[in-house]
Parts: sequence; C-alpha cells; structure tokens
Amino acid sequence: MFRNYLRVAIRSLLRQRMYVMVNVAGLAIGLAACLLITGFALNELRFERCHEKHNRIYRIDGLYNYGDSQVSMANIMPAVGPAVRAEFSEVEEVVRLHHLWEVTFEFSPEDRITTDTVLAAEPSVFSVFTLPLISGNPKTALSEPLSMVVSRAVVRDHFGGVDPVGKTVRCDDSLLLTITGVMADIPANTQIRPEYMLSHATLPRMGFDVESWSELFQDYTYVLLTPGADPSVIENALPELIARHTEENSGVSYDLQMQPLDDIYLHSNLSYELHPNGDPESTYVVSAVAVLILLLACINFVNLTTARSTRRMKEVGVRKVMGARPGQLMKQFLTESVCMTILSMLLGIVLFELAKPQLEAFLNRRLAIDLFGDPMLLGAMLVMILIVGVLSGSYPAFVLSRFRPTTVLRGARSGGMSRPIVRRALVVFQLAVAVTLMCSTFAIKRQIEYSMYSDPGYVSKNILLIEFAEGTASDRRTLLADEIRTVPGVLAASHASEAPGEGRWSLYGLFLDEARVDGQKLANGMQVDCEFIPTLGLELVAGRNFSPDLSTDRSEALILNEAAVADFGLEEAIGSKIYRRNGAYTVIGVMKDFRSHSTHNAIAPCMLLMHGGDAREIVVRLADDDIAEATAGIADLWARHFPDEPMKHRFLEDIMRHTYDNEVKAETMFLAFSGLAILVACLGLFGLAAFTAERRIREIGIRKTLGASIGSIVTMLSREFALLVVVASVVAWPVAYWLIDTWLQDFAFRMDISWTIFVFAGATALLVALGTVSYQAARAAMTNPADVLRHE
Amino acid sequence: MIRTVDLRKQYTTEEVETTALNNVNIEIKDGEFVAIMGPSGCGKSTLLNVLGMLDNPSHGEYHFLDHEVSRFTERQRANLRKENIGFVFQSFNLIDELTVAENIELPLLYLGVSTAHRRLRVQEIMEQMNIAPRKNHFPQQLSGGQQQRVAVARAVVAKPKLILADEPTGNLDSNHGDEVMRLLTELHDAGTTVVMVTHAPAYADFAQRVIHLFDGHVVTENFQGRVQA
Repeated sequence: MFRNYLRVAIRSLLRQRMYVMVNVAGLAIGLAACLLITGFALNELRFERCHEKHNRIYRIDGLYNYGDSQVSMANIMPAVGPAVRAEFSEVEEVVRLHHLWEVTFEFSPEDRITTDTVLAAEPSVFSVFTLPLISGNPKTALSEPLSMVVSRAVVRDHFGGVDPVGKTVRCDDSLLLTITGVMADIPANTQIRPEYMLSHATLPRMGFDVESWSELFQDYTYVLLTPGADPSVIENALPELIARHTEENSGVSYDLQMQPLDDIYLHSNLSYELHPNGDPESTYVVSAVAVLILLLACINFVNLTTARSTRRMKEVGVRKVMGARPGQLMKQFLTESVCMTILSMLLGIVLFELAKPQLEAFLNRRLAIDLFGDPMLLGAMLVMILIVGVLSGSYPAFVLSRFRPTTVLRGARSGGMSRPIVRRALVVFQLAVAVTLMCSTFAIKRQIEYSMYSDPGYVSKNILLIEFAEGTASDRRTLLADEIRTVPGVLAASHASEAPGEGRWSLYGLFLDEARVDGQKLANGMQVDCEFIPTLGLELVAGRNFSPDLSTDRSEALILNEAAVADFGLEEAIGSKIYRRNGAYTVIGVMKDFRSHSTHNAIAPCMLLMHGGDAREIVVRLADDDIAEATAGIADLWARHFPDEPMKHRFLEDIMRHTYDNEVKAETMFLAFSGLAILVACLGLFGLAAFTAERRIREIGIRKTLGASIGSIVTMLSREFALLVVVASVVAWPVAYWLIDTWLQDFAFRMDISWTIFVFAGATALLVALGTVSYQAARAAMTNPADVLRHE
Repeated sequence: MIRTVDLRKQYTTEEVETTALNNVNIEIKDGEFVAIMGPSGCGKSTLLNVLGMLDNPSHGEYHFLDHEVSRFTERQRANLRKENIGFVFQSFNLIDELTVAENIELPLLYLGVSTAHRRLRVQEIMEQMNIAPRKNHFPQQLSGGQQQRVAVARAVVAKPKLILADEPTGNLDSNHGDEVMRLLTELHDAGTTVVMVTHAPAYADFAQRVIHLFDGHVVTENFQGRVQA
C-alpha cells in the first residue's frame, strides 16, 4: 500500500509543477531559515563544549566594591591562580591567561604585523582546555620563557606552510621568541582562540608582575576541578584568601566568584571579557522569528493544498467508492506532504549552504555549523521534515479525506472543500506577521538614525581623533597639537585621555568628605586640556573652563556635569570640594548634560580633569568643506613628527556608528526576516491568486462577453486580496506597537513612535501583494472568452 | 438481494427541503438485470447511490443481502460495499495518476489482497476486457470507450455480486456504447446482478426489467421478457 501512496504522490507532484514549485520554494525558504538559525542557536548554546573537560572548568571573576557601587571584571590579580592551585585539593589544575594588545611580530624585515590576537598562557592550558598541537609537545611547548605556539593560519601566512617549530620571531622589537608548537584549528565557538600563544613565563620580560595581588585586572584565571568537586567549597573560601593577601583598603573591597565556563558566553556580563559575549535574548528572538517564518511557509502549504483540493475530489470519491477508509486516505495525502517536504528540505539545504557564508560575514565570525557532521543538526533536519510534513499535511489530508463520494462523483464543481474563512484567516495571519516584522524593521532604522544623528549635546560631526603611541613624550604631544591648529581646515584641537563617544570613560571614585571614608561616589572621568570644551562645543551652565594661566587648575580643579551635581547632592556646585584618594579638588565649572555613552544609557555623572601631559588622544574639529584636504595636511604633519609610525585616526561619527553595531545588525536581520516573510507570503498569494483566477475563469469569460474591461476584471480579482492586506495591517499594528515600545524600553534616549512607521509598512505590504496578485489577475483577464465558454 | 421498504431520501438546506426519493419500494433478485429510467432530476442517481451504500436514506429500510443497512455507519457500509458491489460511472472516474493496471487493481488493494494474487487477477481481467496491451498507459492516453472498459474491469475485478452502472454509455458514441452494453450483458449472463441507470430506451432493452421513476416515486415496472442466457 505504501508503494502505491508513494507512486501516486510522485506522479501527482509531477503533474502540478507550478503549484509544487511555489510550495517547495516557500517551504525551502522556511526550512533553510530554520536550519540556519538552529545552527546559529546551537553554536551559541554550545559555546565552549569543544573542550572535553568543559563542565569542570570555572573562571574566577573579580567583584570590586566602591562604596555603593560594584564593578565586575573578568580578569583578576595574577597571584590568585597559584594560591588557589596550592591551597585547594578540589583543584586539579589552574591556568592563567593574559591578553596582550597591539603586539608587533617581525617574521622577517619585510614581514611585520601588529595584532591583538595574542594570549600569554601557562603550560597547563593544554591540560585544562582541549587545544591540540599538530606540531610540538604540549607538555613542554609553553614551559620556558620566550616560547610561543602559533596557529595554522600564521604558519600559512608567514612561514609558507612550512613547520616553523624551532624558528624565532622578534616581538615588540625587543624579545626573541622561539616557536615551540603549531595549534590545530580551533573551533569557532570558544573564547580561547588566539593566533599566537606566548608562555606566561615571558610576561615578566614584558614588564608584567605575575605574582601581584594588587594588579587588579590582569589575568583570566581558570580552574579545573577534580571530578565530583563542589565549586562552592572554593568560592566560599576565596574571601578569606583575599583577606590574607591584600591590605584593607578604605571604601574598596574585593570579592572573587567562580563562574562555570559553560555560562560565560551567554550569561556573563562582566567588563573586559576575553571575547565579545553572545546575547541569549537575541538568540531566542531570532530562533522565534525563524520558527515563525517556517510556520508561514507551512501555512502556504496548507492553503495551497486545500485550495487545490477540487482537483483531488474525483480521486478521493473514487477511492472511497472502492473502499478506502478516511484513515487510509489521510495516510496517502500525508505521504505526499512528506514527499514535498523532503524535496523542500533538499532545496533548503542548498539555500542553507549558500546563505551560511553570508551569515558568517554578517556576524563577522565563523560559526561551528556542520550540517551533515553534527548529529544534533541532522536530527533537527529529520524532525523538521516529519513535523512540517505531518503538520502541514494534516489539515489538507483531513479535509480531503472527508469529501463525500456522492457529491464529487456527480462531477459537481466546488471551490475546494476547505472553508474560505479558514484560508483567509491563514493568509491574514501570514500578512500580519510580515507587516509586524516590517514595522519593527522601520522602527529599528528610525531609532538608529535618532541615536546617530540626534544632538548628543556636543559637536560630533567632522571630529577627527588621533591616537598617540604609548610612550610618546608629552612635549611632543603638545607640540603636535599646537601645529595641528595651524593646518588649513582645522577649527580647533584638544588633548584628551579618551576618545569621547566611545563610552570608554575611566571610572573615578570620589568622596565629598575629606575623611574619605564613607559615601563614596562614582563618576565617569576624562583628563583633558583647556581646549577640550570649546573644541567639542560643550556648554558650561555655571562657572568657567580650565585656564592655562592658572597652575592650580592643573592639579586642583575639576568640572562636573549636571547629573554629577544632582547625584552628589551639591546645592552650590561651584567652589565645592571633591576628594579623590590622592588629591582634593575644587569644582570650577558645571557642564550641561551630554550623552557620554550610547542612547541605551541614561546620562551618568561625569567629570573633567586637566591632564598631566600624557593624554592619549588628539581631538580635532574640522571645517565642513574639504575634510579630506585637512586630514591629509594633518597626516603630513604627523609623518614629519613620527616618520616611523602610521597615524592612527578615526572620525567620531564612525565611532558613534559602531556604538550601534548591534542595532544595525538587528536592523539588517529584521530586514532579512521581513523580506523572507513577505517573500513566503507572496509565494502563497501567487499560488492562491492563480487558483482563484482558475476557479473564476468561467465567470471572467461571461463578464468579458458582457462587456467587462480587463481593468475591471483585474480590480475585481485583486480586491479580495487587497482587503486581506488591510485586515492584516489592522491586526498587526497594535502588536507591532507593543513590540517596538518594549524594545525601546532598553533606551534611555528614544524616538517617538510615529504613525508613519505603521502606515508605511501597511502600504508596502499592500503594494507588494497587489503586484503579486495582479500578474495572475491580468493573465486571467486576458483569456479569450471563446476558449473558456466553448467547453460549457 | 435488494429490497427497499418505504425508502425516502431528503436533502435539507437552510432555505429548502428537497425530497429526492419518496416511499420507494423495490425488490431486485439475485442475477437480475434491472434498468432504472426517468426524466432528469427524478431521483435515479440518488436511488443508485443509496443502493450502492454511498449514501444513507433519510427514512425507510434498505435490505442488502441479509443486512438491513439503512442505519449502518460509513465504515460498515464501506466494508459491505467493497466486498460486494462494483460501480461503473458515466464519466468513467478513473484516477489520472494511475495506469490502467493500477486503476483496475485499486479495489483489490483496499480489500487487502496480496500482491501476487492482485497481479494475477488484474492480468486475467485485462485480457478478458481486451485492454492488456494498454496496461501501462494512463487514462488520458485512452479513448472514451477504452476508458469505460477499464472502468468496467475495475468494477468486476473483485468479483462483486452486484454491479451498479450510472449512465455507463452517457459519454460514449453508439459503437462504444454498444460495446459497454455487451460487456454488462456478458457479466449478467455469468450471474452478476446488474442495476443500470439510463436515459436511452435502446439500452434499457438489454435489461430484464425497467423501473420508471418520476419525482422520486416508482411509477411503473416493466418486464422486458429478456431471458438470461
């Protein structure tokens, strides 16, 4: 019997090519999206699972308490690791990792690179983590100072693919490192993915103290517990360990806590994470949307199959007369549905492979997704085929198996036995989802524009930032800044310790009381010069700017923003005394509040101090006309002062744009999802419109005979679908509003939700739907009435 | 074989109630060839549907073989039907996705007959109906007459006791119509009971008895005097 079902299924599909193509295309898109997102979600949820002992590995994180505030850091004092190793029997091994920034390697005089993908690691890194070496001995590769293992990519790019073990590489122009191993390719879903891994014992030669209890944010410390050990035993003993080794610091205390390795990627929100963290919320949202798109594709299937059920009525009637039971008929139609789903999955796999590189490029990282090598993904595919095939096929199978043989064998015409209201409701649902996604996309776009282009309270346009190399003498910095001010097109130039707009302000602990005991406040701080405020157009609402003529400003003056004044409870800010650990300051000015961080953050207390000559950035304001020429002039100046160093510069607008990279990614994702949803919905509309036109072909022939124009017939056929879009929009708008409003809660500065978002989304859906439907309508309207009516 | 007692069939919609059959009392013996005639809309096809257990009567009794089937469930009717009744329709009603052989074997499939026995029986009947050379063709590739022969072959493949034919010659030219009538006659001669709805008096003459319906009533029953071979 099953062979009979299969035979009929295949022949039936071959006879209805257009319908099969539309259905398969829609389902394939839905399945491909689902597969991609499943792969992505698995990649996210299985981060660090590539390490064999992952469930026994914990990272020790630092919590630093300043008064009422707490700062959590992923890296801690380097001395903690060896102490934990020595004192706890529950610990099988400890490994410390140190992230090195801007390390220069010279492979040859012509081959020099500067990179951030460098870790310094203890030899135990190979026993704690699963990092196989394809060359070299993991037991000894990192045991000596000045040794290093590299990745295969480094071997390919700098050693021509030849095993470099034994060769030397110059590091930072001073150290000579020996390559002692080559790492095998590391999976994409782990935080431990260096291209270069130096021995931890090299760090003292680079000026780091690896036994310090006071260098707070230095090493990432991982602990491998013995099997069955309870991490809380160690975690509960850590405060005492800290107390024994550190001095009591008034107003500041340290806590250490253990975090499972498996939890870090999705659930850790600490500062200075080794690798950007994932976002579980995004993973869930994206997964939900992918399932939604698959659901839309399934709805297409249901609608198209039930609409075309007329063509199967005769067959169903005959089979019932021959003795088929409803259950047997259901099995037959479910077989067809599963066959179509298998076809769709095959096409979906092709689409998946084409789309995966685009997704990786979009996320800017590789994904550990292997469709046929991953049992979970393979299983997910099979489950999808079954669920989609059975679910999608159930309603049409149920409808078809219920046909009454007496009705159908009379040759009675019917518009399909599924009730139009069900079909219309499904189409409305599809279109409503598409409209909701479009509204969300437009809203995200508007909020991004608001974030990037609304007034942040300072001049953000045409601001060039130039970074000094570490160690540049302060007089050279001052000289350069002075000369930059003379370049044509430069309006102003200033020094600052950080780049405004990057949100990387330093955190300062302040006291209002000279005793410096209780009531510590935190403020974001920057060290600047006298030109900073006028260069960025910041507004002073009270007091004055720093003055170059007053030497006391350099050591005793600070400027607060309004939020700091409110937070500190200063009734009369100007003249108030503020105390740091190593100094006392007088408030000389109050700035109008400005957005120091992204629009996600409310305005925080901020302060400005005068720098001591070692400010890292030059902030240059350029005139509107010919920015390129002004920038070139500054670059020439730089080259004269620092001929061996390229000028590292960027524009503040670009920095601010990057601040919203996540939102831009979200916009792109939602645009893709909206596009997919509209495409799937249109495929369904296309098929339904074809069916409607075919069903009404006789009526069209009669109307044309009686004088109807093509335009009136197209309007008649399109009207039904236009109404569905309008209903869908009305259903979608409140849902979209609620979703947008909920998303905007995450922004301290947010746009007003304009009605134009919803109208534009609805209008777009209407235009696209009418365009889809009108093709079929026009085709039907141009039929020759004689051809249709001849057979009546 | 067949006996109806005050058989009534009514169709009710929101606005109107239609009586298709009104107190029909007929009796058909084993091995008879009966034709049912009447004007369009008189209830011929409805009567055939009830006799074929494709539909249940609204009132009255329907005795088929030893069963009173008027209140049977669909499952019970389907089981009784597939074991005992074969159908021939005016518009052939072959399944386009199946070949000639596959169309003919369909009743045997639903009866659960084994593959080997099915093949044997289907080959036998195809040769009998002279359609074996077309066994792998699809209905669209056959003429009207050939399609009806396939339909007849399908109707008899399970050796039913009763053949119900609803205007079997309605879509055929006279030659092919004659051919179909010859087949039905042969089946009748072999002992199968045949009940045929027809508009054509010439074809009604093939039957032993003609039942005339009008507005759902039996108005006359004529014996044709045709003697079974």
